[in-house]
Order: sequence, then C-alpha cells, then structure tokens
Amino acid sequence: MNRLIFAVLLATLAVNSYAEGYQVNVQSQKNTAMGHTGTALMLGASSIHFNPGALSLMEKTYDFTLGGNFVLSDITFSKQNSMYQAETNNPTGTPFYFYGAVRLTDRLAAGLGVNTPFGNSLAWNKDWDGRYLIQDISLKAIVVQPTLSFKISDKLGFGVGAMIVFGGVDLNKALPLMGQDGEEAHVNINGSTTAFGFNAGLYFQASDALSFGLDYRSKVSMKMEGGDAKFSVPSSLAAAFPANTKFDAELPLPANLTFGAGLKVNEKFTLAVDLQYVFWDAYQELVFDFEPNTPQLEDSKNPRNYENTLIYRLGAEYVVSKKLIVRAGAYYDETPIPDDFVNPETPGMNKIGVSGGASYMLTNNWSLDASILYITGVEREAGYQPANFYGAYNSRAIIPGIGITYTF
Amino acid sequence: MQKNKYIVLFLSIVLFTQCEVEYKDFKPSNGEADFTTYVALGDSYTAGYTDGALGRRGQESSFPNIIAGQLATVGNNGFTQPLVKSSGSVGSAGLGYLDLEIAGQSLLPVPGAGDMAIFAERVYDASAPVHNLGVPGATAASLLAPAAGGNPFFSRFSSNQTTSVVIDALVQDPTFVSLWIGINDVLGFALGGGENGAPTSPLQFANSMGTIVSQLFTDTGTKGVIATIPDIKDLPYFDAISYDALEIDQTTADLLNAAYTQYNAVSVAMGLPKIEFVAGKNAFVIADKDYAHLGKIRQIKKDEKILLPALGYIRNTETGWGSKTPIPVEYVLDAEEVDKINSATEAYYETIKSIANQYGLAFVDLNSVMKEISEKTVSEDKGVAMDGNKYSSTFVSGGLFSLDGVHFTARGSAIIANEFIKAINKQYNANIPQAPINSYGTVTYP
Repeated sequence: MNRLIFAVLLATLAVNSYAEGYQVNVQSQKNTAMGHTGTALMLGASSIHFNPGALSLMEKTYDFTLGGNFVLSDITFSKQNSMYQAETNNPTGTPFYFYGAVRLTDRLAAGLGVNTPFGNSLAWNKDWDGRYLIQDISLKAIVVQPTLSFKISDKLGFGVGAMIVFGGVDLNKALPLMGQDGEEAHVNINGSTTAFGFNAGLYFQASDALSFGLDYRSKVSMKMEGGDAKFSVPSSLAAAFPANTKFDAELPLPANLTFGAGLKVNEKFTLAVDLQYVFWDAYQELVFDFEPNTPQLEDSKNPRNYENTLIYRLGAEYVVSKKLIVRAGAYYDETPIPDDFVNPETPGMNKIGVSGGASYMLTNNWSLDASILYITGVEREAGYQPANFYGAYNSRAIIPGIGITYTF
Repeated sequence: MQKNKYIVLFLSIVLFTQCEVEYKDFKPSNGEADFTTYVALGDSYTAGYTDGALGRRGQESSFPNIIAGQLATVGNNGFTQPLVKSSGSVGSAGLGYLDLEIAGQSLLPVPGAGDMAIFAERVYDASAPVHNLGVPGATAASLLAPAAGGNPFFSRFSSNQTTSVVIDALVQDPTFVSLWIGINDVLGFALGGGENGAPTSPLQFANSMGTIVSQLFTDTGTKGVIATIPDIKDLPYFDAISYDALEIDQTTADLLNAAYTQYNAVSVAMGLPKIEFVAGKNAFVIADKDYAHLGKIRQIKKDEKILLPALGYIRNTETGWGSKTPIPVEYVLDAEEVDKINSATEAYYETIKSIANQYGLAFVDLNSVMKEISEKTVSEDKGVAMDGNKYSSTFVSGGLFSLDGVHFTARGSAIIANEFIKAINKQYNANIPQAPINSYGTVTYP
C-alpha cells in the first residue's frame, strides 16, 4: 500500500488585523492619532519611519520618543451555506516603537528607529472548521533603522535609512489525518530570519503653511532557511513525516510609496493627507520547500495573488494650549486580497480606521503622547479557492497606545 | 482635565462596541417542501454501513441522519434510527469493523470480530417508528419484498415479519422521502468477481423502481429526493489496485520470465500474447477460465479490475498473487464483466433520472459527483477541495471512503449528505444549511 498520497496543504504565513495584509500601522502615537499620516509633517523623531527627509529640518537638537500599543482585535467567520460560526481568540498584540534623532550639524541629522511595521497574532480555536488552513499564527518583524538626513536647502530635506529586519513566524495547523486515539495530526512551523531594505524620503516646505513629503520604503524579502516543521502524526505515519523536517520559505514585506501634504491652517490648526501605495503584488505565492520530501510530504505551493492597494489617510492637529495638543484622523485601507484568495490566516477586507489622541507637556522637555485607533472591517463574503473554504468575515480592532517624548 | 474624561469615555464606548463583532447569520427555510416527517429508504449507504460492517458509529453518521440534523432547522420532527444496541458491529460476512494495522512496511485493513447478536436484536418500537429504513444488501426489488427478501438487517427493526420496507415507510405517512437504491443490483455480481449471476436486468430494475416511487409519491403531498448510483470503477474496492501495480526489479523479472518459458512457447504456437516482465511496473497475471491458452492464465488488461481483497495476497516479488501465481477469477473483473456492470449502471441512471423528472423530485447525481472526484484523484488536482482539505477516491488516504473501499467514512457521509441538501434546496427553493464536514471523522491510523 505505497499509494498513500496526502496533499499536505501547508498554506500560510502572513497575517493581519491592524492594517490590511500584514502591515501594522501604529508607528507613533502622534501619527496614529492623526490617521497615521505624517509624510509631510514634522512630528519629531518618528519621521525616521514616516519620512527620513523631514528629520534634517527638525527644530530641536535632540528628539527621543518611545511608545507602544495594545492591539485588541477580533475576527468572526460565518461559513457559507452553513450555520457554522467562529470567532478568533487573538492574543493582545503589542507593537512598539523607539525613535531617537540628533542634529549633528546644521545640515545633517542622524537617527535610529526600532519599530514593528509588520506582523501580528491571530488565533482561531484549535478545533475550528478552518483548522486545516490555520489554527494560529504569530508573525513578528522588528525593524532597526539607522538613518541619516541631509538638509539640501532650508526648504528641502532628503533622508535615507537602512532597514535591518529581524523576523520570525510560528504557526500551527491541523492535518486531516486522524489517529486511532482520536487525535488529529498537526504541524508547527517555526522559523526566523534577518533581511534588509531601505527607507528614503524627501521633505519639501513649500511655504510656511504648506509642506509636501514623499517616502519610499523598499520591499524586504524575508527568506527563511532551515526553519523547523514539527509534525505530530499517528505513529504508523511517522516515516512519512520525518521528525527533523526543515523548510525554506519566503515572505515578502511589500514596498510602500507614500505621498503626503500638510497644511498649517493657522498657528493652532494643522491638516494632513497621505496617500500610501502598497506594492502588495510582491506576494504572489507562498511556497514551503520541505527537506526531506517524502511521497506524502511534498513541497507546498499556495497561491496568494495579492494586488497593489492604496490607503487614503486624513489627519488633523489642534493646539489647545501650551500644554495640550489634540489630534484626530481617519483612513480607508483597501484589501490587497482578491475574492477567491481570502484565507483565514489573513482574512483581508477593506478597513476604516478612526483615531484620536493627545500630547500633554509634562515639563518643557517631556511630553506624554496617547492615541486610540478603532478599525472596522467591511464585511466580506469571500474564500480561499484552492481549499474551497468560503464564508463571511467581519473584524474589529481597538488599539490604544501610549508613549513619551523627550526633546531639547 | 476635562479632556481626559472625554478620552476615558471614548475608550469605554469603543471597548464596548468591540465586544460585538458581527456575524452573517444563515436563514434556514423549508421552501416548498415539508420536512416534518422525513423517511430514508435505501441500502447500506442509507443504513450507515462503514468499514465493512454495521455498528452504532456508522449509524450515527449515516448520511440520512446527517441530513436530518440539518433539517431540524426547517421543521423536522426528529429522526429515529434502528441503532445497534451493543458496542459491536457486524457485516454481511459476519465480521466486524475493519481497522488499519501495521503489516511490515505497510498498513492493511484487518476486520475485527463480528457481533452476531446484532442480527437477533429487535429494535422495533411501535411508539417510535424508525425513520431510517436503510437495509444493507437491499436491491430495488427487495424494498418491495416481504421481510426484504429475508434480510436479517431488516428483521431487526421491521414492524412485523411479513412487511416490506416500502410498507413500513408508508405507514408513517412521510412528508419527505429520500431514496438511494440500486448499487446492490450491480454490486452482488461485481463483488463476486462476476462469477455468479448477473446484474439486475434494466427492465426489472425499472419495474421495481416504478412500483416503489408510485407507492411513495402518489400521495400528492409527499416530496422527496432520489440519487443515482456510482460507477463501480469510482469505488476504491475496484480501483485501489492498478492493473500494472506489480513493481519488480530486473532480477525478479528475469526469474519470472524464465518461469514462463514453457507458457510462452505455447503462446507463440497458438498466436497469443506472451507473458513478459520488465524491471518496473508490470500487468498482473490473472486466471481466466475462458481464455484460449491452455494455461488459462494471462496478463490483465488496462480496463479490467482487481478487487480490493486481493491486496493482502499481492507482493512485489515472484511469490504472492499476480506474478508466478495468478490472481484467482473471483478477485478479477474481466473486460466482459466490466461491460455488463457498466451497461447496467447506465441503464439504472436513466431510469432514476426519468423518475426524478416524472415525479418532480430533487435529483442528486452522485454518479457524476463520484466521477468528478475520481477523475481529479488521478489528475494534478489530486482530489476535490472541500472546506480546507482535498478529498479523493484514493483508498485509505482519500478521506472519503472507509476501509471497505465501497462505503463512506463519516466525513464522506457528510459530504454525500451535503450533495443531497444542495439538490433539495435547488428543487424546492429551500435553504437548508450544509453539514459541517470537518466535524466528522475519517479514516484513523494506528
């Protein structure tokens, strides 16, 4: 009976729930509060992420900011033509950031950013209906970005940073193989890697009131080599799923091109818009190359077919007093995932984000920054055609965050 | 600090709404059908026979029971099955459920002990009539016959010793009926390697079916669903062992060729094909009592079938069946026998389809469903994807068929139930929810 052939559909990797795809758009409390705009704003050291070009035009000599968020997200699934419904039980995500910037000369500023612009945690119940696609996933990517920014003129700044990305993935899924003890087989995929990219930006102060920014963050190919695939299968199938199976896989973190404009309406009131183009078409396929292969354990090729998307962002800031600044914003984030490739590991849907927040000056140098972001997904009836898994997805996320800034 | 109060307020509102992520609710509806009293007529498929026997495990996941579970959302009043009282199981041959066991380098289905006491059970209760009237082994004609032609699976739950399956169905005044019958009209012949009898003649089948449906559906109120039977070639029992699955090395091939020297001399003299072996895949050697060669053996042809029970006797060596020793006739369906089965199956198909049209019944084309699955099994697709997994007609690993190679796993049964539900929804504008197939078990491994 050497005819046992199991199509092990190891889909996966990649996740979402904050922003579409698996981006995380909470890179600074000030920016988050303003609908995550900032390409054409001077909000201090967070420009390291949003637009390194703006850094050289900052007013202060030193600017350090540090903060984090709690991502409380929830996704529901209502199966097509069925009474079946499920809900995620996601662990609280904790994206964080640190930016430090120093003016070296009149024309030159240097900075270091550490943040988490990609990643997430998503957990369905172990025995849920889509368990052969995904049970849970934790995708993490920490970006360390040393940055230099050069003031070309009093109005024009250019900056570039090297992105060093430390990434890892840990996911679990069930396999449709049952033991006589009633246990279903499962696999744990665990790997980590280091990859590189860059972030370059131009900032142009057209007038006292009007500013423009353009930022490009490159694609980062997260190539995982020699990750661990741990199979837990009935003992009679142990030879088909070797204990020390390794895998290679590649997950692209897509490039982002953002154009922004800022308008200082008056001394107290500033408006910002950002148009963020995300090159999601880098994510066409996810391949798990297993080593060794057996007749039962073939390499797994999973089409993704993501498409490029645009995020529309709007933000406002109002200086209430010398001590208090309040902010608000909103955005619309298109899903990069076509209707027949919506997988419960990344159940993408169009999302609307609404945000608010404030900075409070504790002293002349210290300020406390807070934001809250509320994201609603637009209900989506779709599925993953290669596995014929269809239903309606709904999602919501609430993301409170807090940070501190030190400047002088 | 007024501002902070607003922030706290905003935060609590958002947190509150966060607790209620929406769902898209399914709205069940019975459409134009009345599912109050659902009765299922049929054979072992309807009864929930699986892994070569009838037992409580298979009954609980019989496809009519799964359908009834879904019908509960559209007004079904409950569905009683003639559940086996013991924890055992028993098949037509007196054996129990098959289990996979490790045999050397491979896995082999091995039957457990059969619980013969099941045949002696009486599970009939006049106050709670049985809705699942599936009788393992039943043919179309036997649904009309007193005591189902003396079938011990029926006498367990029949209302009396002379009643028929159809009578016991009508007594309940059903509002909805499923009828899936006919596989045993060819299977009796096919399982015996085509050595005994013949498939039921198409005319006789059409007569029996005509009588059954005229009795069941004459009452204008009764609606129902009827299904076609699969081609036997789409069942692993007849398809698991490929005609050329004898894989040997050069040394073995040389030994076998030497052993057939004398046979081949006769072949040459008579102008018949020689029996020859090469390194790699070879067609098995089978017995054929009608063959012109004096040895009455030959190599099997591509469209001929080897029956699943031969599996335990076949080795990829010179010993074992199919190489030096021919596979016996009762384990083989030759081309002529396959033709007989195919033409009977095609004729039954037409009969069932025209009945569906004539009576306005929901029509489940399981023949086509099985064909699609088995075609995709051998294609690049390796099966049909359903709810996150691929199912194929591959023996053991396909997930659809149980270890007997004819009947379904619980999950296969749920997949069949969903095919019925789709057809019912279509015919009667109903909205019955699909069964969650991933909640049902499949083949288990040691």
